[in-house]
Amino acid sequence: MSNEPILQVRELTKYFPITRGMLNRVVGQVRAVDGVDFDLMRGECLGLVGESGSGKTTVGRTILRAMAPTGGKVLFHDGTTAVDLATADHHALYGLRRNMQMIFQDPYSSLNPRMTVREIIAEPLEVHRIGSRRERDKRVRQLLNQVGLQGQHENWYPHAFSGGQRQRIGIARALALEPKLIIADEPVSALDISVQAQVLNLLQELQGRLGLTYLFIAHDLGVVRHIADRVPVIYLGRVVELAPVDDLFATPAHPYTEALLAAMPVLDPARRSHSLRLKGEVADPAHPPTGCAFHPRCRYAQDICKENLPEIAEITAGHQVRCHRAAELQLQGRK
Amino acid sequence: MPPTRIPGNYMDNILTIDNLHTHFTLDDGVVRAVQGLHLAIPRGGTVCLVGESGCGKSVAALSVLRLISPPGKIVEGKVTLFRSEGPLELTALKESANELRKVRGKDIAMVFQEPMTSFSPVYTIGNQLLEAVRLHLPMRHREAKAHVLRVMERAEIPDAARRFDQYPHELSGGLRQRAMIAMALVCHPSLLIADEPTTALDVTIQAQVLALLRDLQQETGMSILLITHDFGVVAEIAQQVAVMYLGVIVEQAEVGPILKSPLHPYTKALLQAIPGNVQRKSELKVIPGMVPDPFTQLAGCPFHPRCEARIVGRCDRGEPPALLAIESGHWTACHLYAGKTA
Repeated sequence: MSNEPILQVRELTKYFPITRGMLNRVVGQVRAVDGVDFDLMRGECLGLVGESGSGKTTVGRTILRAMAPTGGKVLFHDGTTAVDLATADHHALYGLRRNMQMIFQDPYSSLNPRMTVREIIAEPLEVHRIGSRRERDKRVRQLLNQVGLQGQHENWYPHAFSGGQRQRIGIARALALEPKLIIADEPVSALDISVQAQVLNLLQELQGRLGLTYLFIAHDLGVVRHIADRVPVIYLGRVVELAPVDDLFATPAHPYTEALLAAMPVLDPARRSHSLRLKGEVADPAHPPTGCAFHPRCRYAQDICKENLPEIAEITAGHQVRCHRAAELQLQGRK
Repeated sequence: MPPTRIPGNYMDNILTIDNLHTHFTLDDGVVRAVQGLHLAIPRGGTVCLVGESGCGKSVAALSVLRLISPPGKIVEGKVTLFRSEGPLELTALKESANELRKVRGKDIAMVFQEPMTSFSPVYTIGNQLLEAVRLHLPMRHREAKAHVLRVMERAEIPDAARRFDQYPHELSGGLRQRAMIAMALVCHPSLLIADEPTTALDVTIQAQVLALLRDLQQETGMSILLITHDFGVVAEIAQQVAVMYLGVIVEQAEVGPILKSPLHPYTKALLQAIPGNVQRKSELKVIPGMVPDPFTQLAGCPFHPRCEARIVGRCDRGEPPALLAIESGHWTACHLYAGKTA
């Protein structure tokens, strides 16, 4: 991991309109992403963590411009120049997308069932008009080998593969254009434990070998702890804490992080968690609570938390937190 | 008395499964989803059936309730429910038997993984809970509604009276799963079968739901058969654990020994594949190969092609190893422990 950012996300927002009636009158906004800032360093794995409905998937998709953001900047650094992906035009995006690819959660719905494995993996090469037909075929076989599948599988259709193998096909497709940045949205959540381990090993090996940068979106803290270097925790569209992974687990500074860590099951029946159970569910992003969005579920909330949105502030080097009481609270981490 | 060869056999069981075989006859061959399952569920206890996709754990649960439809069929075995009125052999009942309908939802209730697809989208939550009450309990409408609201409140559904009149799509995933639990509990079942009840939920909500199940069990004394692929869930809720691979139980013990000192190579490998037990960023241990396709019938131990400790010439031929007690209360089906029975 270097100290040079490949991606700088600044004040990123994405609102979805709520419409009513025949004329689609806009009656409200769902604030899925509501001002997200972070840097992604070249060669690192950043683990974006949060519950469902926190906006983590929308962050990933707006960065790649699979959806247009409502506001904010996404600066992509390529060599000496920086391009704002949020405002780049179609032509510029077409060129830039070679550098960044996505791996999806569900290996069943993310592969076209009517295309063979070769067609699936070669498609990005065709879209970007890379190589001759023969060169592309050679590249497909090379990619299949790289992800641990055999070249003879290239004429098969996705249904002939297991979940883990399909995820490998998705990874091969993402690697076809030799991207620098990969956004992986819950890439192992749908897989069995033993297959999950294989895919995590593969992702780590590829990162080392190809010098990739990952934005790894996940809800499983065990997986994130294993693979990530730094972790932003996101709640209701905002980063509430960002820290190196060891710091985050040892000394969490936001009550939400503490609660997430406490909810992580321990493989020891003698230590069944009782005390720190988080009450309630993620609030409705169409009607976010006032002040700190977490205050209705927070066991440490005071009046100020209901009124003012806390600013994100650095408490130790590289450890940022958005909480009024961060300085006074002594929160429980996990070994 | 149930036969003694069933592992985990306590004096007082609510349900016993004896040598269950459930097969699916398809055009391409026969899938032996469950092939010789023995299991006893103690009264008031929690048994977790653990395994990866395709191991037959859900088919086993559905077989208990006789919910297997063609091309699937229970080809052999006995499932017995021990009610206060006396034992009832579920596998001997006719498909259409009234008795079977009385058992489902009354004595044995089920909670499914995806509550969105297990509720009807066109009736309100309250309506669907009331239906269960009307079928099984002798209550008038007003009494039944009050009962349903009480159970909904007990399942920690905030604002139960309002939720009663809402449709499933209006509820969040966590609330839908609570409603599902309320529906299962509304007739005071003596056994709750929960098939991956928290898999679709966030960890925070999962912790809430598991705690709710634990509390409800304490209050009502019901037994729980919980099916999961997640050892984290097992650690949170199980007393007894049975690990399944390719339609059979390969290891069974209390939760502590299973997690701390597993015997079967498959259980060991599964536990080692969980991130968190090894150095960060190091290579995770994987189980070589993959689950064989369901039509193949392997000679010997079903796990031998992927087992790193297999004994060539022994594990790959003959009958599969029998499930034997190696230590008191700890059973495994593995040739490595031959001659070491307790």
